[in-house]
Amino acid sequence: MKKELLKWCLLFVCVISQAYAQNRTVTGVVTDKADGTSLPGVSVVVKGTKVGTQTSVDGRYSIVVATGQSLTFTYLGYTTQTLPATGASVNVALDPDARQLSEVVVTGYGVQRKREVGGAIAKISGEDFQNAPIASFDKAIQGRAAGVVVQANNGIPGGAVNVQIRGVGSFSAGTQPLYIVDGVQLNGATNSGFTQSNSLAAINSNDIESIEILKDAASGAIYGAQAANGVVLITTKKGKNGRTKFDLNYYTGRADVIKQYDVLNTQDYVKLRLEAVQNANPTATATAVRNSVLGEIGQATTLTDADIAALPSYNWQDEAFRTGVVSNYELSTSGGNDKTTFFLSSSYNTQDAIMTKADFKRGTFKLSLDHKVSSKFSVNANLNLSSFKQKAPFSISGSTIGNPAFSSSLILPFNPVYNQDGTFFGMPGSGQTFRGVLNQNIVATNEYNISNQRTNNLIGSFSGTYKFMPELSLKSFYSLDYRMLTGKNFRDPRTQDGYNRKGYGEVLADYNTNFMTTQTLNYSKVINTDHKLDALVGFEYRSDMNEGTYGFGDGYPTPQFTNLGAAGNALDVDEYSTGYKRVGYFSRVNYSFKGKYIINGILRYDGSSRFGSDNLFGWFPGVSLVWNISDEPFLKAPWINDIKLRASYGQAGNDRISNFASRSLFSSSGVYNGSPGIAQSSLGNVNLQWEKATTYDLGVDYSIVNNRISGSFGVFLKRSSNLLLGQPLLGTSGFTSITTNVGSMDNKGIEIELNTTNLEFKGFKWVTNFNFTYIKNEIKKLYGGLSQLPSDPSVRVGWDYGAIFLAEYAGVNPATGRPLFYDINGNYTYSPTAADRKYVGSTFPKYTGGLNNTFSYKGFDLDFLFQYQYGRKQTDDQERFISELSQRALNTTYDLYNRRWTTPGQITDVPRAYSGGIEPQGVSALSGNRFYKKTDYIRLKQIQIAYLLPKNLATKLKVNSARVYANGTNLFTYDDWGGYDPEFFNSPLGIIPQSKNFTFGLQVGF
Amino acid sequence: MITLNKYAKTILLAGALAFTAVSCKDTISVDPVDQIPADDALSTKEGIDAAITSIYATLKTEVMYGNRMVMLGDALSDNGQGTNKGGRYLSESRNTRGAHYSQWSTAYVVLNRINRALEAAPLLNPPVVTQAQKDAWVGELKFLRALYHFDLVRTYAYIPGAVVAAQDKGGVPISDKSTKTAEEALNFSSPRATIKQVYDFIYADLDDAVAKLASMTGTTSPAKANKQAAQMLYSRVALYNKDYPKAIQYATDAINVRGTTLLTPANYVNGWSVAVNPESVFEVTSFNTSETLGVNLSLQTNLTTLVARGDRARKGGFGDLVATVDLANALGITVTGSGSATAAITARTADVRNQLFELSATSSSPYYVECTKYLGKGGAINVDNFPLFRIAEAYLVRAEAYYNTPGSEALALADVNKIRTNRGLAVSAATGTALLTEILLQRRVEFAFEGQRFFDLKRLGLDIFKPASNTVVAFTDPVILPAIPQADVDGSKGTIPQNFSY
Repeated sequence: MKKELLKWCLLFVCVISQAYAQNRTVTGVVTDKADGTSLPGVSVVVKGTKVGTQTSVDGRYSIVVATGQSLTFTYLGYTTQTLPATGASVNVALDPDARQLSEVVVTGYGVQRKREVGGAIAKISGEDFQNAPIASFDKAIQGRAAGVVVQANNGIPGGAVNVQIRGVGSFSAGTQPLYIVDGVQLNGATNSGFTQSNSLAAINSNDIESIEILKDAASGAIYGAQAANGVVLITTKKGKNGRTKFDLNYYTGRADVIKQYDVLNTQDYVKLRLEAVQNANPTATATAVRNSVLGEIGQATTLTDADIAALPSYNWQDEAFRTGVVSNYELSTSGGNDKTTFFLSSSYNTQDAIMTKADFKRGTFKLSLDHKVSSKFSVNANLNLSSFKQKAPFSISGSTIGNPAFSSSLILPFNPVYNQDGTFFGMPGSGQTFRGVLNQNIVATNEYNISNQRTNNLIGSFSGTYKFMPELSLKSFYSLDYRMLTGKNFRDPRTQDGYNRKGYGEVLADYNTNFMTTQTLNYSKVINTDHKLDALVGFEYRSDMNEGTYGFGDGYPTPQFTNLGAAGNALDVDEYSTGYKRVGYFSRVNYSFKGKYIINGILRYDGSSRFGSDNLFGWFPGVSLVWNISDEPFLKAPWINDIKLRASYGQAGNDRISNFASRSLFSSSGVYNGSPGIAQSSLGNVNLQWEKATTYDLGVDYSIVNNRISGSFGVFLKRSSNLLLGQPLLGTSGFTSITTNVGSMDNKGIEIELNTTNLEFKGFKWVTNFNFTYIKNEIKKLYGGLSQLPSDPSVRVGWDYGAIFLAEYAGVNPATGRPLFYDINGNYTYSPTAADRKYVGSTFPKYTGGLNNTFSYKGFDLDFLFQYQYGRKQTDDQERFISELSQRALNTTYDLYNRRWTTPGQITDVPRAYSGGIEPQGVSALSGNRFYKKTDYIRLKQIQIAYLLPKNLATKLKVNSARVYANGTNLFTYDDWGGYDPEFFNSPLGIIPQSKNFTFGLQVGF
Repeated sequence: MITLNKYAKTILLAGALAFTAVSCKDTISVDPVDQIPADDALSTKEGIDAAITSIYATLKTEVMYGNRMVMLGDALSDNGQGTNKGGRYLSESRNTRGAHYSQWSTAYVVLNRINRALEAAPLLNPPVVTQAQKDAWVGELKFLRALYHFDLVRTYAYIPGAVVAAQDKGGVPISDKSTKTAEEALNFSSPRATIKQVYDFIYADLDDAVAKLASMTGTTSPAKANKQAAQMLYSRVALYNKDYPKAIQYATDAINVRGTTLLTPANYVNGWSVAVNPESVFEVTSFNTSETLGVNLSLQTNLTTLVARGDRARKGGFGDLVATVDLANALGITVTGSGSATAAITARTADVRNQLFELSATSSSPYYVECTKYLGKGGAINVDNFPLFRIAEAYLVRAEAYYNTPGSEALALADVNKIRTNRGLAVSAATGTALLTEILLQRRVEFAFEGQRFFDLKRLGLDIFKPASNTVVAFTDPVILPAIPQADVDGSKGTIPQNFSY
């Protein structure tokens, strides 16, 4: 059968090539000169004739020639070659000419040449972030791709990172993209047990070959109900046919705090506190106020001014922050022959955060193996093993007293850290009192407590591909993404939290098993050289199960016992399991006419156990059109290399809702008198379904002036509908809300990428890559015709979802020093109401992007990336606490202290200090928009300078190559932000801020 | 090679087909393990027992007797003063708008659960459950339904006989049947009933509860509903409703069974130290540390900085809400410099109740008079075990009801003297309004920091004196009533009018 078909094909080729009599057949393979891979679709033409063919998927061709003729091999993106057709076999290795549009792009379940891509796909090469000291690769995307906003939650190494592709398109479902590593769809969740464990940190970013980001729904539709937030495809390194290579890489460096708050010393704190208490108690005598404040700080009322002036001050931020150490060790080897190729790498990476206690220690092991069993059958295996351990901080965020990231700037400065004998000051039971609202010695708390978490990861896949005929192949793919997380948290009995309970401890274990299989049938055929048809049908099944256990107890015999087994009272145990399953059928057809007009269609039928019983399955279509307009005669010009117009339309779904949201369920609910209770936990909705993202996309990709200027310009409209909203119910019904698919939201945007080779002469090269994104979000519809959400009046139809509606702060009444606000009519008021709220900004950045410059000259490389964000406002609750200005016994900054109102007539924006906070008939001076500030910044995200030793020198050193490099991150930031750092997601309250890093490394190949 | 290819092909095809061929719906069927389908949940005896347990557990939540139903009765009245040491109750103790009871949504969620259990219980038949078991369930559930309704109506509405007519928006919605489906929930409607309708509904539930619940015996744990608990709730409801005969009747019934448990000066303090207060007829129990609201929300941490009585050296909680000097004086405590670093208690009367009031821990300046009623029951920190009905209340309810019953002043005096003598005070001989004043004073002192004072003032239409600021919140001030959650007002199509001025 197979042979038969082959014969027919050959016959077909012969017929269309109008074979000459007495000719002979020449066969051969066309490969890429750079990496030795075979090139499919290369045009092979007998020179001077119209006789031609194209190479098959494995780069083979067969053509009939007459004696003395030559063959011309043409392939876009490669230098055309003409060779005499002598002998029975002519093999060619084509030289890539590095033209932008000819790159191969990884798309869902396959690859495409960039000139055939009709959707919006951004590509980042692994080289761009090679050796950047990042724990998870999602951070590497930052500033490098248009349309993608990346914000780290905090400075915890291996912590959560927020990635938004083309804005936020959901109210309540997940907004993170789907991550796929070498075909394995990752669970991708960040587990926040005792510290944040970003599952993407399982992969060593130096093992990544490229990252492709499918931004539009036409490209994403192949992933159906999972693709509404975009899809990030990660391709890891593979081995290449040739000599076995070894690569040894080491870098080390430091992480430093970017800035600290300039907080008051003891004397100024006392002065301010006296003022605040007096202001709040105008009738009290100065002596009474002084006695009260002295009592509060634990001093005798007999203390004189001179005594106060002699009180010491301690810098608690210096105690909490530290210099972090970063280091990385890597050894990789790769190679292979024409049957088998492999890539093997291992790494060990350690990172200390700039604040105690948070660190990251990871070992990884990766293997990629390709083997051709026969000309028809090949197998591939990929295995990524990793284990990382993180010390967990007291808390990841928030205003817990023991959290140094929160407390260190607010602790009253006269509290010493240590006693004279070196013991910690102010420990419970010592008789010493740690003064102020924050009454813990955080240094001791962090020293004594033990909290850590380990994440073990396995991402593995196995596939077999069988070619029934050159055009038709079946790929059977199986994968496992397994994550095991274990952690312990011990609150030492010597610390404030543990003291009265003789210590307490928790342990957790969480297991995630994500199994997937994909069966795909590929068909690829060139007809008559002008018609190219690629088709794919596939089936996919995924089961993603999560289970875990938890234990909690208190009453430890002594602080030396830290394991839960020693706890006297077992207080809580928990076991949970949940999961979902998903099945999908998909197809894609790609037709290209003369490589000039291309149409690409996708259809997926997807079902998920998460959806309501009446809506288990749905259809997801996508269509894209490409016109390589530069192939038209009217656009032939020497300065035009390639211009491509593309348009696409598609629908993808967002299934990131909780696993059983559609069902009416009873859960365990409360314990009373030692017995467990149950109660209804959810009201079912049989119609519940995925959120729908419909994208309309238009773009032009270009490459001009000898490819020295290239890039793309695109506009899009992403219309998210069927959005899940917790629709409020009458509370008197016994339920407060029900989840329904009702809302809709638009994201419109412009994406620009511009790559220029600015200078190129005598080995010197300067290349600039710039990208820019503008996104406008608009809420189109809520439920029941409502124009604003009752539960959150900031969510309004016609406004963006990040809109902030608050009363506007108007500064300080010069007469009284009290905070003033504008009412809705623009008049001053002391106590704005809900009706006075107006639009004061958005928490969504409007413009984002990056600018990368690379200079290279004879082995020297200088590369620096600026990343910017503009138009986002955020509230900084950390700053809000520090700006209380002695409402309570908390410290504050000199900036506020110096600008506070003290005398009638004084014009300032900082109200007078007032103990207790709220002045009579007023509202808190911290309310309104006063603490919503611009997070706009331009940051030197990464700078790397590298030197590659000249070949002869390397040879002398008996190595193949040697490279030294220095890398800096966040070395410079231009911003107006008052707090620690403008780069964060959600609230910066009590988070470890971003750090600046400097590393130095050496890479040796042999 | 040919054979190998053949095998490979077969294996690959088999794999592909095996997965593709299975039926889609079954392939993606996943049933929850941590939850169970709502339809099956209440079809067993154990299911109904567990559902009832969850209803009790809700009594321990922050908005109920875990915290706010207790704390606010004193914060909003003349008993409690905010210290701003931990940031809680400052606004409540200043009667700031919006700082009020907030159990509305929680209570209606629980009422729906009660109704669901009430509807499911009769569907279970012997031999699974006996008629006696069903009666016990109905008694228990109706007691709880009456309690949740009573707490709603006494907070969100005026109390009969003390209504500011111009500001009266009626009672609260009555929850008498369950919502089970999305359709029912989306189309739900229940208007604010009149105050009288709500009290009538509570009466009907309590009639049933008293009839069906079993009497306490020497070993009955007051953690669960019982006949005397229902009687005491009934007597309290009747007193609020100015229905004095019923108040007398049910208080007497409770006293007849539990009167002997009334503590004496000799064992009063110890009664507040042991895990279960001997006077308790019904307690919202914490059982152990894992059931408590913990270090931020328990009664102990909010009321006192102390960890043990008489030990000012150890500091534990926040001590956010403390006794006003006015209350301290009523308790027989002479305090100087309250709220300063030099505060001191200079004298105490023989009233044994003032022994549960002490100055703050020495490391927690400024010092106030703090209530130590909740100091970790049975020695466990933050285990509060709140006594919702103590037998002492039956005496004082009956005293007030007798006082309001013509010709029964002597009986009233006898009851109030029972409390006085059992607390170490001499007998009183007060008559007329002085007797009423004495009864109310004894209530104030007896139930200090047990959440009653605000309602005592409210049900009698009295203004609230605020000793800390030396101001008065008039009974006609709209802040006497809390706001109803605006979402419910908006969603009710006018059938749930918002309380006056909100």
